[in-house]
Amino acid sequence: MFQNQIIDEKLQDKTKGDAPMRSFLECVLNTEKSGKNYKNTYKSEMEKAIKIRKLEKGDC
Amino acid sequence: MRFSAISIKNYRQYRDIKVEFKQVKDTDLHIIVASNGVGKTNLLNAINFCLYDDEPHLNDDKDSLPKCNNTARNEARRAGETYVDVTVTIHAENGSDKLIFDRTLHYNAKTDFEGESIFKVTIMRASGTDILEGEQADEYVNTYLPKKIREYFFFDGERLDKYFDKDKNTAPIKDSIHEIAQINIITSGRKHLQAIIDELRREAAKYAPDIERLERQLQERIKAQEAKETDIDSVNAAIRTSKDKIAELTGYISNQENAAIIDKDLNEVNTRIVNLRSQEGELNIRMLEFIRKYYQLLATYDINKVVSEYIDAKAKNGQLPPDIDIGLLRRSLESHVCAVCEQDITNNSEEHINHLIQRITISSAVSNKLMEVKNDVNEAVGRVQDYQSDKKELFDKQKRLKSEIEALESRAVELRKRLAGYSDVTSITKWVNERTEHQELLEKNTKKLGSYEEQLIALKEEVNRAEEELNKAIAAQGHGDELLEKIKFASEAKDILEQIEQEITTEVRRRMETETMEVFERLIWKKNTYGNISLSEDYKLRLYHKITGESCLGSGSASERELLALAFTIALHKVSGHDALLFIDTPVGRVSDVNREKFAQALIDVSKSKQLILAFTPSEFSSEIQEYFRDEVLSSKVYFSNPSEETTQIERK
Repeated sequence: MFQNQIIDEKLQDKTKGDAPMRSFLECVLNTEKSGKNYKNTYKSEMEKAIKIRKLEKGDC
Repeated sequence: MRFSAISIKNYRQYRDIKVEFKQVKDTDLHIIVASNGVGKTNLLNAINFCLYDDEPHLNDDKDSLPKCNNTARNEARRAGETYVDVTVTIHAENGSDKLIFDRTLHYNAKTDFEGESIFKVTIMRASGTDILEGEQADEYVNTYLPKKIREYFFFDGERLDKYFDKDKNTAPIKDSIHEIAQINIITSGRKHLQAIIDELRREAAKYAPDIERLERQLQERIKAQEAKETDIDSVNAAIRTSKDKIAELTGYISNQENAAIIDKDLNEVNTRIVNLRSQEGELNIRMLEFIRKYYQLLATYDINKVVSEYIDAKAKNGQLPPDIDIGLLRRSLESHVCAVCEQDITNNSEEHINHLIQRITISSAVSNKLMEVKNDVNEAVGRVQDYQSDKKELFDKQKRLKSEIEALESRAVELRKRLAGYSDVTSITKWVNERTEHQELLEKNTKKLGSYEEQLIALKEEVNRAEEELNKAIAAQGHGDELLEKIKFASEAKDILEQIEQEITTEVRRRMETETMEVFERLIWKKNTYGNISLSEDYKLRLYHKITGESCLGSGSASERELLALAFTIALHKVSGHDALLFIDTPVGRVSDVNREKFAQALIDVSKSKQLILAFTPSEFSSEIQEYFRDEVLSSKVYFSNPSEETTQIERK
């Protein structure tokens, strides 16, 4: 995904078994890369990730 | 990425020109030869204009001529046309994709108004063709040839050896490397996540005054932590400066220490010369004694020899009798009584005495005299026999002394010459004092750093405690759960990015060190001088001597530093993944004559794995340089000329 493959590899490694966190951080990095406004994107993506985590844990 | 051609229309000296860079050899090496003012540097400007819409290699862009070619402008005016299209098109290859970067400026020939340029990138893939314009086109360029690090693709050779000047601000290098390694994206993501966390906490604070207080407390502690981190950065910077300064001054001083060694050598040599001169004086006295001694012996040798032989002959035939007095014998015969024992002489005794008297022909006085001088004469003759060996001993010694003195005197001349090249004692004292100051400063700052780091650990613990307190307070109030979840999630995400950022920063730096050294070792002609490279956190490069381990970047030649910059650039391309071409204007401008062949060979080596376009002036592209860049190793070679002084054209030779 990134020019620097190491970032991808590290991201995979640090978020092993935590897919919502991984996809959130991928979103963070893509947002930063594109230079788009981060605030709304981060907040909404964070809410989504928290929700998915809960679903995965069966909390809701 | 490599460039396959550049077409330029109506841009500065270029009316209509197309330079092709086809790779037809193992080496992807292309040479452009153009006199100053013909457009060599403006070719570099044309590339920058096309890709980045600016011209960084103009001497004074405010006072420069218009971008539009003068002839084209005048022709348009004469023909009554308003616009002239100024266009630079770069044809490139990126893997299997064919690319066209095209920038056109509609130049108003009547008003000389330049207006906005239009930039397009055409990407021809096996799957189809895409045309990007505006921001998308800029973004594409920035992905493969980022503007911020363009100086690592399009070089001015005159500046290459300045890349690692100790006073050079290396922040752009660090920024560029972080940008191309995309560490800046992680840093920015981390900072923005922190901003989100802060915002969420402020939101929580609205619901309870206690939260507000705890939030303030947390922010204060974070500020204290950040201030301590800044202090640590400053102390680290001061430590690095002291270390650099100590290394630099040690270099100067060790040269002077060499001077002291040379001076000591010279003193020793002079002492030995004095000793040998004294021995030479003693030898001269012995020579005089020798002459005096042998002058007499040799002058009397012949006569002494005759006398000696005469005595020997007389003695041999018995003419030199034992000590018998002939007068005494005659008196004994006359009185028939022995004059010695006073007994009567018998007939037999008388006969014997007569026989003795007949045999002795020399008088006793003469005989006695001869016997007296015999020893002296023989001694004089004998002493002459030592003449040759004595002479040999003295002359050999004289020759040896002369030769030793001559050798020592030449050594003294050489040492004096070397000594003359050193600075004065005042400078040495100044350097030693300055080094001592930096050593004391280094010691002081190292202690300070240790104490600051301990304080930072304590501050971090305080921040963590404050965070925990705040989180508890948020959780305790009505709207807390959801906010706390978000804060925790964002903090977790931020921590992951922080870890990745730190790890990649260190890894990229280590890889840069390894790759730079690998390329430098391959290209450098001095195989046993340089040991390894280190990059500090702020990307200050240090090159260490293979044997002494001392920092030695400053003592390298301009061509060695230029080669190191080239190695650093190639490493940067590799580590960053931006493996693009290199365009070098005046590549050997700073390279001394003695190193040009080696530098040329290094460039040829580089061109085996990377496209290299080199722009020379005719004087730089001398017959000597042409011997290295022979047609057999070049994929293309073009000569630019501008006979009309307004329009540059290509001459094929």
